[in-house]
Amino acid sequence: MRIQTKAIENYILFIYIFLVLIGISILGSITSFRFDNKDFIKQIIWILGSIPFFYLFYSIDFEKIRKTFFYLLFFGLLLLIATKIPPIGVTINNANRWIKIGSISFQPSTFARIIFILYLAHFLSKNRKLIEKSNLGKFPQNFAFTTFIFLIFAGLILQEPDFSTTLILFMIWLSILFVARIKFSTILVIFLLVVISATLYLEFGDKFRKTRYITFVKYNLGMNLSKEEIDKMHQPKEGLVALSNGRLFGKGGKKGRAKMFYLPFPKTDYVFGIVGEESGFIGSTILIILYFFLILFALTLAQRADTLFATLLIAGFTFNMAYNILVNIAVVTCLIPSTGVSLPFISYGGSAFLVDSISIAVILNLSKKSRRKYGKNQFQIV
Amino acid sequence: MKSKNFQKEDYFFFSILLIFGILLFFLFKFQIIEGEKFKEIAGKNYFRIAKKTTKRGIIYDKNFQPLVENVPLLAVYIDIGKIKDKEKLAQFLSENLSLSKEKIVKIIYENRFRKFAPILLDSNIGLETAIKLSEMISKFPSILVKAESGRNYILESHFLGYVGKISRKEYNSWKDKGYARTDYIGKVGLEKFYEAELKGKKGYDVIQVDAAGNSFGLMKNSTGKQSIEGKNLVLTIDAELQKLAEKLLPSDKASALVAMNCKTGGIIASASKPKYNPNKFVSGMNQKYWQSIVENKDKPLLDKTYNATYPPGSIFKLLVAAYVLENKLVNPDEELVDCKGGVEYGGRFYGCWKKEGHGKMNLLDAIRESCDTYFYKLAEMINLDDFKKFVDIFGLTEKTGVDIMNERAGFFPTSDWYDKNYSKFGWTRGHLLNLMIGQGEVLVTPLSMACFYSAIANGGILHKPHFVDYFYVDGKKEKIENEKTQIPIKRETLEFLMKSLDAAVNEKRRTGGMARVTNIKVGGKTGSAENYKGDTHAWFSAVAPIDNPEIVVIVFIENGGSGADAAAPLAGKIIAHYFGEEPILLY
Repeated sequence: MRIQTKAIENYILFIYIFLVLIGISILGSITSFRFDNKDFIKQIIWILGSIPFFYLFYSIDFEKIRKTFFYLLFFGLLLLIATKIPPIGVTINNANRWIKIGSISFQPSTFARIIFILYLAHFLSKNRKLIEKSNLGKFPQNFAFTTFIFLIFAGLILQEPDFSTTLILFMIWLSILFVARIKFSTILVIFLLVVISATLYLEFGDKFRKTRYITFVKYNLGMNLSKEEIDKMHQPKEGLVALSNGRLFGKGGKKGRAKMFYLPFPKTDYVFGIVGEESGFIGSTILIILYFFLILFALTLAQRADTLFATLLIAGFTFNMAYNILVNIAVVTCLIPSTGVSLPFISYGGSAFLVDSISIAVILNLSKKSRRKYGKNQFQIV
Repeated sequence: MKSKNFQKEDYFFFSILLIFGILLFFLFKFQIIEGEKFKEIAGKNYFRIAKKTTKRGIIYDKNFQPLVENVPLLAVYIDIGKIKDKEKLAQFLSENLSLSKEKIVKIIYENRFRKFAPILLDSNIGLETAIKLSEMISKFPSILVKAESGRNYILESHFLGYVGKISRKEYNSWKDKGYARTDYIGKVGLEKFYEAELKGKKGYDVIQVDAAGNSFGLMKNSTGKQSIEGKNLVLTIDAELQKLAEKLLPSDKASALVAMNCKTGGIIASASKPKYNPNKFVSGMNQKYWQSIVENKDKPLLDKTYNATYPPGSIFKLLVAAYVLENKLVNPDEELVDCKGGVEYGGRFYGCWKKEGHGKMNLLDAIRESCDTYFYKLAEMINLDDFKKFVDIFGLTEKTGVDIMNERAGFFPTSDWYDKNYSKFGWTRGHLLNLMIGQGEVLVTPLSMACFYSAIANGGILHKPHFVDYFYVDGKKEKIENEKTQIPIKRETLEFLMKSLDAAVNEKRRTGGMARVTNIKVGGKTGSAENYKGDTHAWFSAVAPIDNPEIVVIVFIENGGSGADAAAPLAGKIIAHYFGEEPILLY
């Protein structure tokens, strides 16, 4: 199977626009049963406002600005630290994940992830020779700085606390290392190390989180739960109920019940539950297939890019989106415990939408560059 | 061209495919295979506890006449979550309710986050308005008309009190007992004191609801609970006598009348004027009515029988007489004074009410003619603090413990109190002179006076006064034990006091002749308490029949004039009605 790179770029753009439209209609349905549509209008403004940014990042030349990526690290650090400093940092549900400036609030970890990807791509493509020396013995000394950067970013996000975003950052890091052809054995060891430390963190860390995970496992194994444990499983269960109420064809737009305060966070974390309820198995399958092709096409572009820098950037941005998609849907389908990760392009939330739109712009931009340089692609698509 | 071996990138493709495949599989599992199972779980989760209503207890008088009835009140609510066009809704509602459009818009705005609980707009709309609103519900689905259980007071007397919508504060302290935010609760009077008994206990049904919140009906195998009705109260009050008492008391003066069964302490009538309409407090009143109540200087909301204190005037003299007899301070037959219209004491003249004087007086004469000069003389023999202890024994300085909220205690000073409050001279015997005739600092409630006279009439037993005789539940009586205490007082003293009450109404040179009744011998004592506000407060205390007392009546009229003219005839009429006789109404 062979598809022109240009066509793939177009498909990505189409899928992106299609997803945005789906997102708008779902948000419209969620807000429809109340007379105030403030959130809906706010999101539309964000979508319109992100168009110039999309264009900017579509036309910018990354080769020229890649030297600034090192300094962006400090900016990212600053943002993460600012969550601890009121009144900029806002405490919601005992967590300092948000920054609020004026009427705009966002999670710095969203931007920190992007900055980390930018710098990692820059560093790895600049030091190609180091990649050869990435076996287990030499990795620590050759990649000390990027590992250090990862640990600082991950540490700051972890103590917000935001366990799931920390894990996503880790997966992004590993994925980029993998694409950059770091020795597989090294990646495997890093992976095992993190799994062990994450388990220890769960065991000896926050008691509340531990009981939540244990409850989750008990629930999925069909064990009897106590009353408090049932309360803890309220969100995941509501998500499943919303999904299953959709059946094959769904209840139809605006007719779902979950959004009427039954399902928590219907606009953000559990928006996929609304999709499942109102458009059924068919609708949610279509959405998943759209996401699948978005990721597949984007990774194909990464593969076809002319420089390692472009490959790593495209892959990094794609993984960044992909992990959000996977985690969000896995939460609603009760495969992993409940956590606050948004669904790209669908969830309500302006800053997340802006970052995801910019990601698409960056992917298309880099692909366009390498295509123009080399003319028709010479690579085989998988 | 196909390569034989998977390239590294192929792993990506397959792992992505695998992950998405897993997601799709679980979607399929939850949405198609196990859809039914979750539907069942959903059903189990989405049940509602529907509270059943319960009947608030009825309050009956002693002849089983209902004094209050439960009536449905039609209330209109709006369900904020279902509002489609708030402008149109507000317009429509303002045309039918006594609320302005702006006000309705404001209410909607203020409650915009309370989407679960409907918001009350008007707690009592007429049936016609209710029909009009109900007809338009298809157009305005947010409108909700509910019938609620209100109260209609057949007898608009103070002691019944009234119910009202539960306040936030009351809700917080009562919610554990099953109260809802829309419940009515007793606010004052018996309704408040017996709230726990009257309320009953709400049962509930477990109802299954679908996604839209519509009821499927009762939940299978559900364990609902039956409601328990509130207890009915049967009072010692006689509604007819109560109505007569309220009719007799002047409307333009603060006044009170207590009739009490002196053998049991049961209150037969308890009237206070001016009155207010408790029904307005249940169903909502207009601003004008509220203003008229608040601005009335005679404070209609105040029940003067137990919630206000006044100087007792001469009806207090009986207590003084009891004290001097108990302590053998005087010989009752001795003509202690020759009243010439007053006495000079400490450079001040203390006048008797009869300026020309009563002449020679013994104790019985002094009570009969209410001679102040005689009692001024007694002040020389009395130790204030010892006398205060005697007053305490009769419970006049504390609450009687009647089964009603907000009772006020009377007051009697001690010498320490004078030293503290009259800093310049402190306690002087001059104060005692005033106290002897029930003036000055002594303050009592009409109810406490009724208890005191009952104790004199029944051989020294101080009953705890009460309105409620027994609870009436499912055709069965539930007795209530009321406390009583025997006061250490000699029989001769009581006999003398009764003789003097008899004399004051029936003998020559009497003061309370207006209280007489055909065929029943009434005893009594007049009182006219002077006060800085104007006319004297008129008091009369009556006991009948004098040889085997059954009923005690206390009449009080603020600035009513003399007790003999203003208060005694009322007592006479009440007693006459009680025994089915006629009042004589002659001096």
